[in-house]
Amino acid sequence: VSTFSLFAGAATALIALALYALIAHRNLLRKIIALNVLGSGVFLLLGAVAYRNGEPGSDGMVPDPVPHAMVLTGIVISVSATALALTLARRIEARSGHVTLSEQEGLE
Amino acid sequence: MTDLLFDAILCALLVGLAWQALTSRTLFRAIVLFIGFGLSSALAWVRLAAPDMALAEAAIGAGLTGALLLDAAARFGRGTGSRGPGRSVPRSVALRAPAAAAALVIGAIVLLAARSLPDAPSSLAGEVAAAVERSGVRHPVTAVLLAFRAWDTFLELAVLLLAVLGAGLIAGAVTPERAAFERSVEMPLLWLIRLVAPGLVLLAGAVLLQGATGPGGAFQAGALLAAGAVLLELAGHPTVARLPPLALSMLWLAGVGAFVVASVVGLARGRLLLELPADAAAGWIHFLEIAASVSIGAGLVSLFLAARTAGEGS
Repeated sequence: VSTFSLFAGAATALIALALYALIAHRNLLRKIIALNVLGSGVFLLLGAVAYRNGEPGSDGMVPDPVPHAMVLTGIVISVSATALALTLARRIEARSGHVTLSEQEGLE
Repeated sequence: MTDLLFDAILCALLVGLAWQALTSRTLFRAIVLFIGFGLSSALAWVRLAAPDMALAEAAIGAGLTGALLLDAAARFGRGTGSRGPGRSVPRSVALRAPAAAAALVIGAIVLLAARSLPDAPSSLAGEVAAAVERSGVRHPVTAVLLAFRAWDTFLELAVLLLAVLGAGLIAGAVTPERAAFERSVEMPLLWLIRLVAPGLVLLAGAVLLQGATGPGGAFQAGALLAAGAVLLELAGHPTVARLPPLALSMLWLAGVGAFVVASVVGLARGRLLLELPADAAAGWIHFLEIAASVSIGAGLVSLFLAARTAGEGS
């Protein structure tokens, strides 16, 4: 057991749980929360790999900065996508009266 | 040993909070737990020796995303009378089994991939450490973002711009009439905002400059600017919404524009695309970072306003 295996395991669990919730939930807000948890899981996995592949530096291990830069970019992209998705969801609700993607309910 | 114990508890907390956030009966509870999850992942980033990510995750992942979701949950269902925001919509039972199967298969593949990494660490940490002296900054993550992989940051700002434009188109005009600032909020909150909002601007500047030598930089500074603006907007004080359209567009375009300027100047002088001149790299990086943080701040608060106003009055 190492720090890497613990965080990689947690990241895998987050990815699987979020994927399940993303498919199983019908409420769009819940799908958006699931997408965010899914993203966090992927970021955490990248962070765990960066930690594992670190180089010994002057003060302890220096993790690989390249995945860190990718995650930093990803966090900004993920909040942009969340805001866009919420805007779309508000619009869907205003048009159909429902916060789901169901065809029967949506087209009235 | 205590480190590993702490990691194990933190991982269990993360997975537990995520599960609760994904399955809570009420939406409000789910969102509050999601914010708790975001803050706990900031702690996980500290454990993984990634303070840059801890800052970004706390400010954007937990803070701004949480504010977006809470605001949406308060507004969804209002006026339509269909479903109250607090009530949970049942999951469709028919999808549960295939969803669980898909999640298990993907999870197993990810776990196999993580376990089958080569024993000898293969990373770019050594290359970055060797080249960081020539990049113009001393912090390796900033060097990767603004010098070695500036292309990624350029495209990220383009994605942010597209999201802002898309959300603006869907939401319509983002300039609702607002109550006068002074009258709309309680005195303690007003005092707090008067204290915190200018402080956040100063802090954003400090974090931006800090990025050259340590954890910090354009992303975290932009997030702080956006957080301050969202705070003001929530108190009824317009920030970007009152700007003339041209000025607002300039703020949105600043980041992408700065990268275009850097590309064109570089190409005209016979350098590679986004290759910064060795003698003036630090100046260029500061220029790109200031522009990027302005665009990230203005873009994120515009996205917040678009998500707020979409669906109203339509």
